[in-house]
Amino acid sequence: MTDLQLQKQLKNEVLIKWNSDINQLLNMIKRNDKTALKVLYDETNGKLLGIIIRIIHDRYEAEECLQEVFVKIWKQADKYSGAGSAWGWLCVLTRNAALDQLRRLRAHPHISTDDDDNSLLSTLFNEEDLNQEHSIRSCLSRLKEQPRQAILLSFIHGYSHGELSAQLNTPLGTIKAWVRRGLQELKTCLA
Amino acid sequence: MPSLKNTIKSPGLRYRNPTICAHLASQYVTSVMTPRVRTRLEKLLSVTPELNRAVAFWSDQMAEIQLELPEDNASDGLWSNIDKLTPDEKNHTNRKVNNSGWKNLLLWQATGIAGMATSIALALMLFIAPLNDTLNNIPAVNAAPSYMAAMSKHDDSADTIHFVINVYKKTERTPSTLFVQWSQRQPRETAQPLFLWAEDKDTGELTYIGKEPSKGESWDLNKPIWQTISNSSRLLVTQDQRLPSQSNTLFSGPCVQLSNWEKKVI
Repeated sequence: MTDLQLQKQLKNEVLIKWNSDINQLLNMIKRNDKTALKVLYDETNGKLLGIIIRIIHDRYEAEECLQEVFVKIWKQADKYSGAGSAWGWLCVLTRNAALDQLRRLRAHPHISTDDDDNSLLSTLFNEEDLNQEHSIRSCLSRLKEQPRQAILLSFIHGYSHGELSAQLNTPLGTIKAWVRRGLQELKTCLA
Repeated sequence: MPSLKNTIKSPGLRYRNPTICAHLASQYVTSVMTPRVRTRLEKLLSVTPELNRAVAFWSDQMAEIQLELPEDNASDGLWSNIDKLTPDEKNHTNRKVNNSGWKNLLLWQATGIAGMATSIALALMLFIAPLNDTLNNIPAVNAAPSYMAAMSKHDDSADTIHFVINVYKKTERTPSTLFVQWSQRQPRETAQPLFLWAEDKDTGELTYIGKEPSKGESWDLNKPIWQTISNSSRLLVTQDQRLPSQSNTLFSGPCVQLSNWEKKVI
């Protein structure tokens, strides 16, 4: 086994462990274990706040949203069906809460959206990704730059089709086609 | 794209179509849906298992990316706000005892994980010269299992790990629990329930542990089953309740006691 294979295996095992721990905590929360909620908060607040800030771009509002997310987790943990990983479920719950909050805040012009998106996206990829077949990063790396950028801006920053059109200075129809084809290619690659 | 209008109460067969499920799920997870469509899809999720599984697939794939992006820790006072907004009515009287138990558990768990990470590191150092940065990124987990079995397909010579079985020791308030976590890279292929067996480390005798509970339910263990697992060298998963054989065994993997690491580190 090569160094790269060992690294991949170890990383995979760490990921499985992380998911397993989050799953376990969520199951304890389902049983009203408040301390499990605190442990989950300690473990995930940084990552979840990162997700929210990348969408809302305002720390105060992002923390409000994070608070709302943990209240939802406490009240709605039983909605987690167990079909996927608990971490995946938490990410979707958090992104949706952030998007809802962003919609509520749209009337407020103080929110800045001047992050260096390209810099953030480029940190996700490197040449090694191309060697890791069927990983999400590898599959994204193989997409053409424009569909990849559209999908990631949408996923990471919560941009709608219309916002992507304005951000990338590209017609709406083209944006929709990029996203649709990009997701199809991604699905084929991941399968 | 199919319309979601008027489909919530009795979703049509088209929402069970894998292509449509994949399309809707990818759009949902990457947030390119309008809020109204998203709300409708969320209602549809609760009555369409196929769509639910497709969303879970995309969520898991994309969630991996979130682990790579920068974190931003919340302010110190935020937890106390959350604490006030999440009343612990059912367990109010037990909270003091519970916290004490958790503190011990967390210390034990953190030590166990540290020991496990150290052991992995030592094992790697025997085979490769430089340790990679991945080890530095092992999360500080708080809920370590007592036993773990990495399960591979019974006939797979490459030993590709498909899922991990974690067995957690009981606490003051919760029974011993068994937990199955599927690999994101080897997603579950069957919706059929699995049947678990343990092989005794001394006699090789196979003992039936039980049938996998329904999704979302915890797999609680009674004392005899806990002891059976703690005395086992290997766990096996079969497709039915018959004694494991070449024909009905799906997965197997060595059952490793993790609490030993704690003693080694201390």
